[in-house]
Amino acid sequence: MTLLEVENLQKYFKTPNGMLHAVDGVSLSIEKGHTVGVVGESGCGKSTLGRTMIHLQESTGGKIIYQGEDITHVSSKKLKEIRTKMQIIFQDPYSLLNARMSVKDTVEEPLKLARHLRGAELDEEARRLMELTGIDKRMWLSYPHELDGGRRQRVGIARALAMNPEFIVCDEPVSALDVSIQAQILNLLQDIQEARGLTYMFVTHDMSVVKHIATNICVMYLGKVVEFSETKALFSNPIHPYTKALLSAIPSTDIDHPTQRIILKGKITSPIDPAPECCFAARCNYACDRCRRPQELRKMGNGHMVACCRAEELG
Amino acid sequence: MPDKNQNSKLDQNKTNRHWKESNLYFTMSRLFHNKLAVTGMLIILSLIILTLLYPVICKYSYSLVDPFNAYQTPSAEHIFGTDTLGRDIFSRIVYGVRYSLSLGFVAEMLGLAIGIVFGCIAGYFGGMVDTIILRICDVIQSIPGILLCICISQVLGSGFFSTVLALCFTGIPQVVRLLRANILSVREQEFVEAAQAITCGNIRIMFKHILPNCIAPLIINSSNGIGGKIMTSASLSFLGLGVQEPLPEWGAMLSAGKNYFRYYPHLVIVPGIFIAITILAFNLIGDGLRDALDPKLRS
Repeated sequence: MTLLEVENLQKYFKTPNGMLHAVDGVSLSIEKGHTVGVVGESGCGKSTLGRTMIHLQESTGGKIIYQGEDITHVSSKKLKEIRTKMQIIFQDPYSLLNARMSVKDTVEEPLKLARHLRGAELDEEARRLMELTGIDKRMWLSYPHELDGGRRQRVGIARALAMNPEFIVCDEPVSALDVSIQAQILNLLQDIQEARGLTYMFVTHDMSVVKHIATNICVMYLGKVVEFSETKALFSNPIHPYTKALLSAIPSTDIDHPTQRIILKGKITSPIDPAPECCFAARCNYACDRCRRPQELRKMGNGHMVACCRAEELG
Repeated sequence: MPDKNQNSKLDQNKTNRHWKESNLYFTMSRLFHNKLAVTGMLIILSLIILTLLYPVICKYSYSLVDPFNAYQTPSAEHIFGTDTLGRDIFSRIVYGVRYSLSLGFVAEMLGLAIGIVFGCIAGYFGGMVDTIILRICDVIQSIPGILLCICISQVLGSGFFSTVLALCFTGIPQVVRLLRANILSVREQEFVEAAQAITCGNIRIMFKHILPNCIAPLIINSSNGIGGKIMTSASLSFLGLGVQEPLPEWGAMLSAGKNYFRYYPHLVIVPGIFIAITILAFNLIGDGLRDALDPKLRS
């Protein structure tokens, strides 16, 4: 069952030099209970896509459909309702919490505001959430600066879960943590997903993390989706030249078979008012005349979708 | 059952622990452990007590003129001597505390309140409103503070409230700028977005999430500002504006004595020392607050 779907979603920002196309016509559908990993280099619009999908930023164009209902433009009352279903987990453990609120206050705030819990009920629910996310009892009355990155991230997760959401955008939740803590947080996210049947959109630039956690992967380049596929299929058979280069950058631990790095040459095309051609053409080793035309995401079978005119030859 | 024990203990001590864990408690305890800040507070406190005890401890009225005893140097009868009209300087200093302190305090608080309102508007809404408010601040700040005070005092006439208004007006732009800059940096942080995501309204985000994270520099700024305001008010009185004779304002006393400095230095030195000590005290408190309010230093 499709939980969330976006059609031709656009998010442009006004800059002094023109319109910056942060998200430029993304179409994506996310199945209930799945984890969609969104990967791509810095500034390709991954985070903006996540934030736009859950209405933290207003979209410039396109459609957002949640469980069959168009929620692109909604009233403020409806927006509150949507917010209880879609939440976000943030990247930077040092700015995701209000330094002036204790852990307990932080977790209780959404319970009070959105779920209108009071008294014993509120206490009970807050306690349950903090236990679920593994926050020690002695931390409950602490302030954020007394906690390390992993614990802060747990508080952030507890705050998001307090809304009882169905869909969570994880905006690089582990990229600022050290590796052992990364594993803890990833496991926690997976456990919660199993227990509550959550759907994740996992934004990251760490390929090994998405390989571990994602069921589907969506590769973005300059605000556009260039390849969408199941995780296994993408890793075993990447088609788009950009995906190939991206995967070749994962360091190999096998000393006899080092990966052949595909080195991309040339500069990234400017995202400000880009020409309607293939956004990757300027750096692509396989570029040809047909790449001057706009590229559509095309089905290649088995749910594998690629936006490249030479996909058949390369696949 | 250690778990259950801990639970009930937590419930029992909840209010108590909440207070002990609260930010205010930590700030206060840090402030009171700072020797310099405590010194500053003791100075201000003793000045306040002194002026409240004025009817008890002063033998002479601050306005009692006694030409036969003019220009007396400090003695047992007149601790700080007498001024050009034979008035007891000690009485005048003690009575003058209330003018200096209340001028500084009221002017700073009024400026802070107005500054917070405009700073919030400028920082949170941004855009055109922000530009207009900032340009107005530019205009105010481009005029030298003391000159602006003189203008306002001239227009409004001299007296306590016109001095307060003149003093507070020059302080507003600084508060607006400081707050606006802080809001701009705080509102980009992820917890503000999280607050949006958990359905906080604009006002709640502003006052619960953004403002508390911006308030520390403001408090420090104002406690130093009170000192500055006292100095400016003394300067105004020195120039003959501000609080008028026969009310004993320290700056006015300084001004009245300046021509006799060579022969009767105590006419200038005594009020000068009191002005200096008071400003020093407020600056010490300001520095102590700066250290105490920094949440990252909290242990």
